[in-house]
Amino acid sequence: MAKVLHYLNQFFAGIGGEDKAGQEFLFLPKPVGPGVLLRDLLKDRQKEYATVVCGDNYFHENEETVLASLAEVIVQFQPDLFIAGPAFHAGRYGIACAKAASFVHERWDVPAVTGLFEENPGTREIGRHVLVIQTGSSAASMQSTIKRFADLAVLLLNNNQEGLEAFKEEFCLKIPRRFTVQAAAPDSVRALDMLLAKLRGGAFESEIPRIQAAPHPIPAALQDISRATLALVTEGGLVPMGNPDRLESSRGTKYFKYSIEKRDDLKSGEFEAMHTGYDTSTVNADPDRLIPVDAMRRLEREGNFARLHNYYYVTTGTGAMPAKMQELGGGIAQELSACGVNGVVLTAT
Amino acid sequence: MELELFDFHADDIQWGDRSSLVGGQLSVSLAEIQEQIKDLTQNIKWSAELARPGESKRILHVLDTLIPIAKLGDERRTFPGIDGSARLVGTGQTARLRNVLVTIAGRFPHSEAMTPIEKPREGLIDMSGVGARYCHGSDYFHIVLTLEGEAALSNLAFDQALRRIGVRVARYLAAVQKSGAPAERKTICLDNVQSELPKVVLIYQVQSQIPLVRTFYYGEEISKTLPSFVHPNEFIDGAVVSGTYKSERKIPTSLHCANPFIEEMLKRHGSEINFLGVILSRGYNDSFEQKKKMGLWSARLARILRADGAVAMMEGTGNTTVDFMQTVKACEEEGIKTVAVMHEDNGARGYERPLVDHPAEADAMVSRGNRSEKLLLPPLDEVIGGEEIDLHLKAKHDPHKPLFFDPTIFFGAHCQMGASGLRAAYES
Repeated sequence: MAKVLHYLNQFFAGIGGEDKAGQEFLFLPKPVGPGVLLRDLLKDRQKEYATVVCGDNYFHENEETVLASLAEVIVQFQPDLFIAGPAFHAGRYGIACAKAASFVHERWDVPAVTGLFEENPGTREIGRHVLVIQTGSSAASMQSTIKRFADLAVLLLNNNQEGLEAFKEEFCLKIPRRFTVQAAAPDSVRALDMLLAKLRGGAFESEIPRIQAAPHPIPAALQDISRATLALVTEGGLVPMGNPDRLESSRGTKYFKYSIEKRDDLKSGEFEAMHTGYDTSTVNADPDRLIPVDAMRRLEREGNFARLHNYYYVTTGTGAMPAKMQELGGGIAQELSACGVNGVVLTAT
Repeated sequence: MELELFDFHADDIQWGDRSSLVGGQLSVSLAEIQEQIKDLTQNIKWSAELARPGESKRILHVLDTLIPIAKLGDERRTFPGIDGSARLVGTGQTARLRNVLVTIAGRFPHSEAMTPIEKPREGLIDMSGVGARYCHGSDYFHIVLTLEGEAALSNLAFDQALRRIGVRVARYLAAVQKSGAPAERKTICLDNVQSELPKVVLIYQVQSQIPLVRTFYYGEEISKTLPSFVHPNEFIDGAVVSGTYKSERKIPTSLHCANPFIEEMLKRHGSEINFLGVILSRGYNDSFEQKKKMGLWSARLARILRADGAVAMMEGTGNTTVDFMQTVKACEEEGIKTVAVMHEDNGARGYERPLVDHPAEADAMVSRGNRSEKLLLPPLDEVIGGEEIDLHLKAKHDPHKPLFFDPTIFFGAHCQMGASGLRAAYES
């Protein structure tokens, strides 16, 4: 007999729609919403069924707090199986399900299952070994999805490896991702074997696929720069002294904006560079070398362009993940565009 | 050029009144070590501990590991140029404690004054458990010296001192009195091979940028130098020494001396390949043009050596991939068939592009695994070398609590993931 814990958002828990998306994290010692059907299907298998609920917005705005609360529930309730969703094509909910399921599986080794439509952005947040049942795009497929959840739950609780493989093949989303596995020999041995095959003109298989970066064409020049609002953006990690927002010094996952309004240049001692990829001492000695406020103000005064945007934007590029950087770049561009910025001076290190 | 190597193995290690290797018992005298390093530790407090394979022990803040090596009859000659005037190495007789490491742990005296690029990364060695196969050294016996520099010592002086201390102790231990300890004796020489075997070089790209992030060759910092030909025997005798503290990606000094790639190529020398030697080059060059030239020169050197093929490996990550790939590309363009070995950065969720640079010429890659995949690391019973694990952004972690982190928290992770046979593969 097993204990099942089910994660739902405010909508599927029956609390309310978008107006209740700020719902705080909640523990209920019973099944609710789609959990009722799942509990009935697993009647013979489980002895306790509990639900955790969190509003979609609340999860995203308070992720750390929510996961800490979830951790407490895991420690107290000790589930044998964690179910999240299904979230279908709902983006925020899908990401929350993926993060919650991954968190529970990775930290406590509890089998975790969620259900997503293949285009749900939550598929990007799935931890290794978290099972994702493929669903339709809408809750119209709820009934059949819950039946699959039940089938999978039984396989997991019985530790039926053969059945699990067959189930995964038929019903789980295939998300091609690369993880560490054990090879038959050390790298030095495989390298020489591969070299000998290559030298003999024999067959060999490269172990790392060649995936090229998407091309980034240079955008067209501004039509009339004299009427343009320009902004300064960098991946060089320049932050106010003391790094108040804790920008990472490598493998950045965040970006921040800092005011340069009323500043004619950036002074040493007021800003510092958080970046492990270059020698930051020259930037720390004169931050204008990275974010050239001094030169931009002069060009602005001389009428070369209309206005310098009041904020500069910053992230850390070193060791960064390309997909993450694409996301951050998109966010920065969107914010700048909404503020009427026409062009950007982007300084890289 | 011929080197006679005497490999000794320890079955256990313990403290003793006099240092010796009797049978497989390695006894280490703290007083004798003290005597060896007293002139180097005027401004350094230090303590010593032992660690053995399989123990539930986690070593924190590891800065470098050295394998004990000494020339017979002239023990001061190994690790040339680090502690004393350099002389040529790679010939004569060398004694080595093959499964023992002198492990230097500790923190720099003024870490708050370091820029992010200079700051050492946390480097853990787990002697058992999940982490053991991700860190260099878990299958060795360790004499761990934990150093604490006093405020009077500058970071650069501490950097120099820790290197000299490591070298002194490593030479001293290799030279201890031995009785009833059988040595595995090997003669290492690259002459006299069948001419029909393919001629192969090892391209060995290191990280050397600025003080605290550098590598030494005969005690000279390898910066902006041309790629050089280095004989494998020189590596074995300690001609290449690490002075970088980017723990996860670093090639520790012990792996410069006993490098699995050099060893594998020596093993196959004369039967499957004609091993020509090593091309030592430097990554992290500043501009694309310089990166390209480092590749061109390495390929030219390989061509002059008449290489048919090359295995290429690198120390580092990120932008140095470009230097490395330019080398692979240049070799292929020179008609030298090349296999390149690298870690991957597929992200915690596995969907990121594996390499930041991957030209079409690099068509034979060997993977060392996804270094950004998170691991759940339960605590080990004993913690030595420090009190708190340093995470990024000055955050601290109690080493007695489980840690959820990727392999970059481990000392020598890139090298060891490869040596452990880890690689990345698609999984759905």
